[in-house]
Amino acid sequence: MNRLERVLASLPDAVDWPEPSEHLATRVVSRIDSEMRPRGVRMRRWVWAAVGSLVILVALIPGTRQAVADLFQEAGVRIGFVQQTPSDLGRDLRLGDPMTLSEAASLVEFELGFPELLGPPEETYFDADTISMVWEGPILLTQRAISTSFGEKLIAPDTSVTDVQLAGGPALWIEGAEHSFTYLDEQGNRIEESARLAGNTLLWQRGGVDHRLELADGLDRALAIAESIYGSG
Amino acid sequence: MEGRPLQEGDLIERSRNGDVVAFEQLVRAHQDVAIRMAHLVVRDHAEAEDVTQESFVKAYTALSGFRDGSPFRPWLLKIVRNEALNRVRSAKRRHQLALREASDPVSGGAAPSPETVVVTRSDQVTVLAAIDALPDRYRAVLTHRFLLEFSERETALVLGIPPGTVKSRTSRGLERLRQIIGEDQM
Repeated sequence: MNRLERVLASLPDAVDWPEPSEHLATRVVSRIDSEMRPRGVRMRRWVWAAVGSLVILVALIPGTRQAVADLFQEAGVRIGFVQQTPSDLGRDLRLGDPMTLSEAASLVEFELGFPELLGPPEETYFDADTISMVWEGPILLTQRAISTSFGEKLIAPDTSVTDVQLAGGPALWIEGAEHSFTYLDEQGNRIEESARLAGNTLLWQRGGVDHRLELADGLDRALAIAESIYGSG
Repeated sequence: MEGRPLQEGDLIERSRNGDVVAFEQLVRAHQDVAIRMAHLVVRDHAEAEDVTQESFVKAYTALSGFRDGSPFRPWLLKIVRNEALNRVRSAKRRHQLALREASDPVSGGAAPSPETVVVTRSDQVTVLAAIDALPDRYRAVLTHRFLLEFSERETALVLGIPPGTVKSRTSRGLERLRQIIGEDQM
């Protein structure tokens, strides 16, 4: 080691570095708490999002227009059609915080539905006011209280939408290509989310709760699962 | 899960899900090096503390953009460095790095033999001043490598330059340093 190198090697211990104050970490945490809460329980404001192509594309598929229009009112879910769903969706389910079913149930005010047909879920997640249950398959059921805000479903043109009956009430069956949800987060950023699982989706409302069941199986299986929530599966 | 100390990856994941207690552990684990990084740029203890605090808050909000499996420390320190650089852009003067109170000579151990070169405070002051006199690109690399004791790889990640560039700037920076100090001096 030459002299310069020796001097350089001595510098880290010689410099008068500041020490972090004992309050630094707690100040960081309290700032996060005061400036960013609620975040762990992220408030997602589901709102109508304007997408220019929606009106045109819906108009192209006249058969589904009435069903779509009805569901605007019925399910609090807006359906629109786009040429292409965002391509990189579906990798990360990002369902929120994993927790036990009872923990999750205690965090929402509505009564959770359990599809008897599937038994207890393998995993349960909570995010904002949404509870997601996952079973092998994978099968995903999300439930959330109907609020004044809305989700928007974007559907590629080669996807079919069918009006179906579920335990005496209306439901919507979306089958085919990938579809995605769009919503605005609390900062007003537009967030696009995949239909969590590529596959088919059954949407319905019951008892003030939005239900979304996603699975690879067909309509019969979806209806059987959904009906098992209401004791008719 | 039981009894297992949480790994950094677990803490990051929990923090991302809003667990501020987990994030506090990350802060405590990295605050020493973070404040040094800040001080290297702002050259003021109180300001460095402030920069560090601000950087951790920013890091928390930026966690969703952190790539899983990539090293956390350089990602965090990059935020600290940027925050510090933003502060000094508005300030004109840069103080020199001060030495802590210490006794001469610095190189410890046994009594120096004729071959052992004793490092004096005056050597240290000279070298620190020479580092400050270097062009930015060399100063940044040398301070990371020798004052913060980062590896070439970590220096590269924090500065956002290829490791090969860190290597070449280190060697050219040292040459420049010798020229500034004067060959006969060191």
